[in-house]
Amino acid sequence: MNQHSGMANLWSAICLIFTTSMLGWITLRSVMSETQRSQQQLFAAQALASSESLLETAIAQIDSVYSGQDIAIDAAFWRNASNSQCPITLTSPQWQCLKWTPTEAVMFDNRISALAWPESIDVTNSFVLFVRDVRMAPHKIKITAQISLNSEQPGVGSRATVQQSLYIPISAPWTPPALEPASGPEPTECTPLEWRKTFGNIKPAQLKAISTAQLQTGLSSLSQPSRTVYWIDSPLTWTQSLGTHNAPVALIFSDTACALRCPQIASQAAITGMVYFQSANACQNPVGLLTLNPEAYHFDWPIGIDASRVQRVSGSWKNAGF
Amino acid sequence: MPFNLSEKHSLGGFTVLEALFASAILALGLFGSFQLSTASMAANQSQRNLDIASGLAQDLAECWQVPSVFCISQFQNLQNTGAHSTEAGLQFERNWNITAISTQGTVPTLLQNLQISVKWPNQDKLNGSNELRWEIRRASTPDWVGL
Repeated sequence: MNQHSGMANLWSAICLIFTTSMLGWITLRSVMSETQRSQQQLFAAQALASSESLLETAIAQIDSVYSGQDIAIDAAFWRNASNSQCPITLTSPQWQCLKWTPTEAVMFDNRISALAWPESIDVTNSFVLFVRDVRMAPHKIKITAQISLNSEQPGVGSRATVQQSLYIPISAPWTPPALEPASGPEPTECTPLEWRKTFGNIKPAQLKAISTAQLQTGLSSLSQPSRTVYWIDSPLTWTQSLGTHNAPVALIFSDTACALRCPQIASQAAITGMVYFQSANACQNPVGLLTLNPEAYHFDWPIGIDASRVQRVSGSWKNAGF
Repeated sequence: MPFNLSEKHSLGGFTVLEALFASAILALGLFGSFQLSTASMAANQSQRNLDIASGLAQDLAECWQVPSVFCISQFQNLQNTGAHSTEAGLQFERNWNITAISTQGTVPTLLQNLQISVKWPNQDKLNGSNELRWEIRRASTPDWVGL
């Protein structure tokens, strides 16, 4: 009987220990998992703050590139862009994509390198991606910033992605042709009346930049979709047929092309769209003007916007995703 | 009979030893359990303090990006210090500093950097303190919101 009582004591103590230990272990696990969850939230918030910082840095970089500059800077900025850098959903040649790591950002010029990337990010696993549609909206750039926190941060390896779109001054809101000269002083830049009648507020340099961008991405008369803006500096006779009823083109022979005598269009070349000849002196009216069709350079701008500077597209900020 | 008596004594002694042994195991187990509870409470408290610190930092970082009257008044000076205490009496010290990152030919406020530091005492170490650093940037590029 006593022997049994002793065994019962021992057994009870062991059971109690086991139960207490289990309870302690479960409590510890519960507390630790809550602690871990809280830590993960902190790391995620820190990663998001760093990705926002990188996005803001990229916005400032775009602002410094385009503000107060000749729009010809556009071609230089996108010179290393390629379709292979685009997200897999954007395979069409109308998409122009430029991926920047810190090294590439520094290589552009010293204005960009001064706007250094945030110190908290792992530069080998972080990048900024600039994307735009050179055919439908060359004036809108979507910027995506993806970061991974570096080893100096408690949440090392945490990732976050944010994106926002910007308007850049590569075109202007299209305005109906002004048949009469605008009252008031003439603009300081050389924009002849015929040009303004046809292209509204869009400047020759802007259309040239759009043409260059379309050429850079590989758009052509044979690509799908096809190129819509052609800025031609060559004085040679034009022999290529361009444009369709669904996709009319704008073919502009520049003042360089018209320096001696404006190029001729061969009889077999059918142009669907419009052709514009700049005269040798850009301040003079054009030599000749064919069919009008504004679709190729008529982009979607908000009413009343000052298109002369870089601005954020309202409501375009997004957390994660391409 | 003597055989029976000695048998009783030996049985009683074994039970006391056994009880002592059981108590020792119980004490050891309870000590372990107590240690676990202490560790989990310390971890929990430490994480709670970190949460409060990150909350203070994120609150200020959010406020920096909102042009409300309250938030603008918060950042009248480019650097500042503020103290906050919890219901447990723990003091959190929040410092911030705004610096401009700009390039030649651009406005000085083109890109600004807000550095926030939150410090609080380390309850495990005497005179020790913990610190959380938070950084956020803001470009002055305007947002087109229409007419």
